[in-house]
Amino acid sequence: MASTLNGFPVTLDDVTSARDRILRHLHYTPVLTSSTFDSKYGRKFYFKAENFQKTGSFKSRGALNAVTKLVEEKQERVVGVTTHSSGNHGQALAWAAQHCGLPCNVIVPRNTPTVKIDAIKGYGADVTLCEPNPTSRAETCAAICSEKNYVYIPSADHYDVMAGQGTIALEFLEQVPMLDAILVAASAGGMVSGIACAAKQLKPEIKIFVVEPFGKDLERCLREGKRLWPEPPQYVDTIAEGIRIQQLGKLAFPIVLSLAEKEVFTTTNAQIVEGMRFAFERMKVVIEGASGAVIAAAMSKRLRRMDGRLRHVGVILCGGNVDIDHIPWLPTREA
Amino acid sequence: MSGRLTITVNDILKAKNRIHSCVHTTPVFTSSTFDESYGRKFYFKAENLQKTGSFKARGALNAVTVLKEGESPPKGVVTHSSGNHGQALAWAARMRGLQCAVVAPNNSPNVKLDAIRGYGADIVICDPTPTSRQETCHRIGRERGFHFVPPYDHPDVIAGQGTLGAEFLEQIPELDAILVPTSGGGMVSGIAIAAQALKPDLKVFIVEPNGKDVEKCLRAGERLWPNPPRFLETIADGIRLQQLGHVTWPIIRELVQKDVFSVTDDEIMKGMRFAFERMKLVVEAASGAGIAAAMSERLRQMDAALRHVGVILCGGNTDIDRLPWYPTPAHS
Repeated sequence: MASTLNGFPVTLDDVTSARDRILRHLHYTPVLTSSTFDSKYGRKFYFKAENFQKTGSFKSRGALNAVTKLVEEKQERVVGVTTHSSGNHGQALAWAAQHCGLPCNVIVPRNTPTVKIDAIKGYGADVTLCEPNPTSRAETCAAICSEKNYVYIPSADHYDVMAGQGTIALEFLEQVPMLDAILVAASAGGMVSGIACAAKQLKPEIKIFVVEPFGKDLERCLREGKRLWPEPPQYVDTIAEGIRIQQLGKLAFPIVLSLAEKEVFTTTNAQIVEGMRFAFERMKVVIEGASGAVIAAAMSKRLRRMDGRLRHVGVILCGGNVDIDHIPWLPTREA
Repeated sequence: MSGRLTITVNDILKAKNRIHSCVHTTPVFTSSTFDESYGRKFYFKAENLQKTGSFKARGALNAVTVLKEGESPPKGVVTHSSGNHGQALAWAARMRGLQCAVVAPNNSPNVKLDAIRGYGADIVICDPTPTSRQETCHRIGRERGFHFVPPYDHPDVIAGQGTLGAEFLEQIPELDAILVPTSGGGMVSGIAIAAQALKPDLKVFIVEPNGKDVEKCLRAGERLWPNPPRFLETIADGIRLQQLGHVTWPIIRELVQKDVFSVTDDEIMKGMRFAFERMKLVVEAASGAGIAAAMSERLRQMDAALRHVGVILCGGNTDIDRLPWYPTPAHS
């Protein structure tokens, strides 16, 4: 399939500029390893701990880059920012806005865990509830934009957001220059786009593999080179709330099509739980479902059967914002 | 009152040389949220990320290495343990090619026993009393020719734990105080010896579960605990011993602060929840106790000159199917 990309929409310069903007305010997250995991799964694995990032997920990188750049470019003409989010981007944007002294309004599906809503409010943002489907999210957000004259900062489909997420790859390749592959979970695809653009420009032979929840069907889309998803946009049924969006974004799709491997790791709820349990029990870190999915991909038979030359494999632990009163393998606690 | 064994910072530095290639230099975490809420700068030493999931790997490996390098190394080692020291010793023995037997009470969490077996050690079950632990342990030692490595009352174990203090001070030289969850007292002794040599002004504080009454003992200068030794009622299974050890007691009396942080189960749980929720770290309840001390009114009222306060997150070996804030455990 011919690539639909003309060069890299997110250049290495965009990513290094993003880093200059944001690194001072964020954590240079550690890379964790587990000799147990390596012995069991037959390669050397490196877990990039974005669960330790400010706001508990990698989203703060993209949000802060986008907001800071907006303020740099538009100055007093920005009165506030808004977005719609299942949680992590909402929290990240609220934090980034507070950091830059801007008002923020986050649109959140009404079934979002209270702990995530409280976290967003904790950063001083207003929260508006909407119906739990992508259309309602988009419509409610558009209304806020026109009412309050706020700028919409999407969670993924924005080059400045992608450039922010791309800083993960800059760090990761500094920390583990011998990486042969990186496993990344995708929802709308902002992080995988940013990481793919940055990593491929630094190390063209590196392989970027997408990890998805069962039902996203990304591999079929990539192999046919077409967006095969139904309209209107839907959610995937998965316990990993951070990766519920079925479709890759319009900007993300051509990037992923061009730069990521066609093999996509698909994970079931049971596998996601197994991945999460490994992190809790053996690595002693709290991660949310999406990160569990990536660990599950690292544990998978599919990876086991892949080229033995992929000796050093990166695993992005994208976030740790799990509701500890609703950990998936434990009975629900009455709050 | 017997004088204390002379364990010095040199023993700690020798321990460091013996163990440093096998143990992790664990990271130090900070939380701006926590600092704002509790009015000081806090530094959390993440020994939950240590080999075997707790700081115990340090003391165990130092002790086993000394034995292995000795004139007539034993066939193996034996200990009694509620879990973490047993796991650490099993791992250390395997690292140095020795056999290992661990005596564990019949109410030990299965996840801890499985971990010990996972390192190739043999488990021997005893009754859940300190006396039964010790007696069973001595018997196994005699029968199999294994050398007893106690969980805390041994200079090589204490020196090994002391490497934690030396490391912490290297990472955060501005520390004014360190809060240390304490059971037998091996870790707080080691840390206090390191601190005395490296930064004499540093205040080392014990954190205990309610009922241990260390402060009363320290102020009286006497071991006031009843005999035979007993376990406390606490969710923190790693710090259930009521009594400090006999080797550790004189060290603690001399070097550790008389103000002791005493925490309840609810406070311990709140501390654990903070680690899980805000720091994204899996810690066991004993570590939650350390965090609870950092959150306490008692610390709030202490000298503001204690600006930089270290907190030892001593371990992360908690049963994730039985987290304490859940009403009933999962079906595993």
